[in-house]
Amino acid sequence: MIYALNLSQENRVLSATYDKYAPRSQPRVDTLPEGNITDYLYINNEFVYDPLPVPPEPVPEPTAEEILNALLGVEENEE
Amino acid sequence: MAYLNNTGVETLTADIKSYADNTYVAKSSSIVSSVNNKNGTVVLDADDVGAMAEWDLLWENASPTSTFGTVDVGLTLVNYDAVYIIYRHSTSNTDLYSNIVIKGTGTNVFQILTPNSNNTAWLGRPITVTDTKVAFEICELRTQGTTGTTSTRDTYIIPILIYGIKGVQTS
Repeated sequence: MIYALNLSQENRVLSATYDKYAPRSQPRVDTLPEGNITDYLYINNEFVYDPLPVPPEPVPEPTAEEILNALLGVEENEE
Repeated sequence: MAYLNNTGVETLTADIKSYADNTYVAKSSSIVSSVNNKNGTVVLDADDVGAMAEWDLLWENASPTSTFGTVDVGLTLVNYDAVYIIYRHSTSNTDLYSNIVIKGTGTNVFQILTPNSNNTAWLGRPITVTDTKVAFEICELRTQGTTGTTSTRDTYIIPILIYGIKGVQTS
């Protein structure tokens, strides 16, 4: 099986498809790396393991009700 | 009208009509079969083009268990009116869903995760289609409840197949 790689400008693997679906400009490989292919760069015809850092969990955004309560000085659980 | 079947044998109009006889559903069935297996070529005259659509598989994700962020899939879509995209729910969940995107427009694939009034969450992945590509933006997870959050999740709404569709009315 021959695969075609869709690379970012930094040579990170963004996606892969099969040979027949990709333009000739995309690099071809015989095998894909195990696991998550976007953890790899493709440099000098070799895969280089370089996972992106895991983004931090987002801070919860206040709801409109919470913003309104804060503006009004209403405490949570206040009757 | 004539078409080549999956072994490359041309079938003449008269032969098609011998079992289809102007019943477009029957004709479409035989054409779909030849298109799907990618070995046949359909040739229609102008009167038939407006009556049935044709589609071709243009792209397949070779690694559907990998994350999928902001990705442009380069395709030649000049001769297509729209694309039909099939997704799996996530890198670890094979549930499928799909949408059709008219070329020259954008849309957003949505998936509601927890449909209740106290803790609704949904996923969205914006998509735009041009003559040269299908552009996927990264999937966002949004929640709304006692607190609301928005975060990117490249493990959800993973495109796995893209078909080009032609012969459909888009205006």
